[in-house]
Amino acid sequence: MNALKVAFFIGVSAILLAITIYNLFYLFELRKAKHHYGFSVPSHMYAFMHINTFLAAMSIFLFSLFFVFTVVAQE
Amino acid sequence: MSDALQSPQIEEEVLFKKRQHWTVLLPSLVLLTFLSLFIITAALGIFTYFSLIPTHPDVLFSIIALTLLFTSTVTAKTIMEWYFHVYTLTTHRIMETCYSPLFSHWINDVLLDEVRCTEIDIKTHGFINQYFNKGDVVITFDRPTHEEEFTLSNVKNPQEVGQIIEQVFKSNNSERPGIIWYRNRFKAQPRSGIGGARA
Repeated sequence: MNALKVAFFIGVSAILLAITIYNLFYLFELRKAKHHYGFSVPSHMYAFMHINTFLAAMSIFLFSLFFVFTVVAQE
Repeated sequence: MSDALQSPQIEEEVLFKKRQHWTVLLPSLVLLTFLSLFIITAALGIFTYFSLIPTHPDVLFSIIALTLLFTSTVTAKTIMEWYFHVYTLTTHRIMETCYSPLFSHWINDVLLDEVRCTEIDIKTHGFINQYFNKGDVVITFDRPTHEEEFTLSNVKNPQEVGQIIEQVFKSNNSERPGIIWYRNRFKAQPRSGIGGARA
């Protein structure tokens, strides 16, 4: 496995991790807004943000699996 | 937020809370959808044409996953920002609250007892705005506030909003008749009460 593939794996994983962390912080901020600023967020918006965060986290796992079973296994 | 705000001196009643019309979301959401579809289609086309799917499936997966996640994240941010942008009119103040989680939070609050309104303009431009009955209500004050105009942009039914605001100004400045000038371009029938319409 050459350095390019390792760099690709690290780069994509880092971007996916950044999106996951951003979504997680966004969820915390929404919760804070509900408690501190008095904005009540509708439940379907909460659900959408939870699903989005979950998908972002899952995509890191799936990408790692995909990478291992396709690229690493081929070598 | 309850409909009656209690304070030691005065009782404040919320007359309406309005957001911008939902159609303001359409351009950005449509653009995002087309952009993501274009990227995914182009990636699939290129990978199929050059027969790259058997050798580089991880690259295709990463492109599709990143595009979809980016689109859904930006979509959520856009909708949240629209949802948290609220115009509130009470019997004593008009307030614009704008909250973008993780990014910004500001409140533009004008005390109606402290200012004099000289003009309320209602603006509706374009076919789409006419069809959906949305437009801007621009309130001009005669004393220097931090902004001399307060704009309720892209609200639904701006004529009715303008009328409610005019009645609130009249009731707040009833001891100063003749100072307020209101240009009623739509010549609508006077409403029975200022609390008649809500968001």
